[in-house]
Amino acid sequence: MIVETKGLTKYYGKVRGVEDLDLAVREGEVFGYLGPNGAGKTTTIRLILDLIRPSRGTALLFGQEVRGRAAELKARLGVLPGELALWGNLTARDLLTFLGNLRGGLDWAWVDELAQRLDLDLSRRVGAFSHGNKQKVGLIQAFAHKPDLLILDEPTTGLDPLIQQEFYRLIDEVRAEGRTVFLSSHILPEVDRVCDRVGIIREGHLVAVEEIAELKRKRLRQMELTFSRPVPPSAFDLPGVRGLVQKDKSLCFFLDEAPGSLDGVVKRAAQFELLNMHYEQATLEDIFLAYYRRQETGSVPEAKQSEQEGDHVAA
Amino acid sequence: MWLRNLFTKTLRDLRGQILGWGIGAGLLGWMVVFLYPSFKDQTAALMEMLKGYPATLTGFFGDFTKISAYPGWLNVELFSYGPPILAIFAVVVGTGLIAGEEEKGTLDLLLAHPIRRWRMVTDKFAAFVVATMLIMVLVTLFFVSGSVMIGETSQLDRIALASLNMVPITLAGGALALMASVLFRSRRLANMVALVVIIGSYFLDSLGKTVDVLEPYRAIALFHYYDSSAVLFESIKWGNVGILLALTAVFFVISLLAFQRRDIAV
Repeated sequence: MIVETKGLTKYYGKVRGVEDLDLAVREGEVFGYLGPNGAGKTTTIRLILDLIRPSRGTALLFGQEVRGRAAELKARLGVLPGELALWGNLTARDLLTFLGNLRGGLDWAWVDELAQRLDLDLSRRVGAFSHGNKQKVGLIQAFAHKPDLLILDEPTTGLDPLIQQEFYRLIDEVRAEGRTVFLSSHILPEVDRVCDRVGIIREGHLVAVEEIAELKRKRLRQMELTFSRPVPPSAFDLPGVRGLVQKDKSLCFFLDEAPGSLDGVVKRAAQFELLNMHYEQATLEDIFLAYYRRQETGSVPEAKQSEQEGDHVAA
Repeated sequence: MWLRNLFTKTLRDLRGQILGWGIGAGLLGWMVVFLYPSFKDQTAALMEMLKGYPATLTGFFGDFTKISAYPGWLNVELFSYGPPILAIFAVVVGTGLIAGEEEKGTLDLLLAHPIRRWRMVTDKFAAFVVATMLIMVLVTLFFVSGSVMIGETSQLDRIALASLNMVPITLAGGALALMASVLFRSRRLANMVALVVIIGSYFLDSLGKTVDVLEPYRAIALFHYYDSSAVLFESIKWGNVGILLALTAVFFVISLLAFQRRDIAV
């Protein structure tokens, strides 16, 4: 494993940072670490980098415990810290020179290519840069020495869409070269686009780790059934139905891929007078949200009313 | 070349402080030096006046008995006030070394690189030490050149030595500030604590010279080990220099150890 955590836990006083985190990132994969702001993504990364020390548990990089060996291990890392801060009094080129010197030099041909691809003028003072341009400096310094492992905390914040695409291409290249990427994000389509696997973190806990492809295969369907009169929710206590809520004469729920689940639902629905059936493939975002809601109050917000998408059957 | 490593970069970041404090304190020194000729003519009247003052007061404001001689004048007007003023430099820079980067957030980026924490503190503190020495060299150049300009050339070596004698106390102040910043994490709190300790120790030592109740506590005051009179009128007390440098080392080592184990604030 390139990145591994075992029971990694961090409390800030009494405040929960992350709890009992068991992560494993394989060599050569792009691992997306997905969760909303405040879920513990940055805390995890800072623990892995030995910037903060765990309350219990351990973090390993390249199979070696980080604690006490962080400096050697960091020679093989390229890191983009979250909420990146830079020295504003330097030009981008000087800043990269300085950081490069901490690693014993830079391949300037590659750095210039990176700057050109990300569309950044290195001769300007970093202090005068927009948020997005600062982020580009952060990305360049992380990619500059072609590290074995890239740890990127919310890498695309502030980047405009064209530059984001270029960043995705850079990640693809890293993957093609067999190097490893661990990136955090709260943007699903991004993880969808670049990652091989995704770990979902919520309130300090890792709630799921999935192959992106697998996650897509498992796509939930979102269903909304409207009847002529209220139907007891218990009638749809069927295999594959999750997160059911009743709203007036409608029932909304997610339907998973359990064999026969759709058949069961349709046959049950047919026993009542059905007025409308709204049925659509859930996006990755919905799947993600379903993971979350499952552990909250159990209530599922109503299915989206978007009529343009999905199959729409009027009865 | 200034971007070669953290030591040189920190020194580069301190260049404004070095020039500002070196030239600023140097010009202040020139003012005091250039006032001496006109003051010299009135010393007899002043000595008469001072006789009527209580010892507490004259003790607190410095060694007035020797003020009529040029080194005595510099001692009262310059060397007894220099270090408490330079303490501001020491504290601001001392707390800024680590806590400054930490509050800005650049510490996360630095520590993402293969650099050990102790090495980081060492490089940064070394830059502070060099900056302090450069400031004192500048100040010394001003004091000595001013003295030459007004024709007071007989004790230049002592004046130079007295200027450089401000280095150890300033280093101790900076190390104390660094330690406070590493222990308390908040730069503001560290600034406050370090300044209170340093300025407090200045008052404790000055008052302790004449206030009997305070006398036994002078030994714990940093400023007890800064004795400009001795340098100017007798000979430099290497024991004092040694104690200040030892304290500097102790504060520095505590900073290293504390920083090694603690979390970096976001």
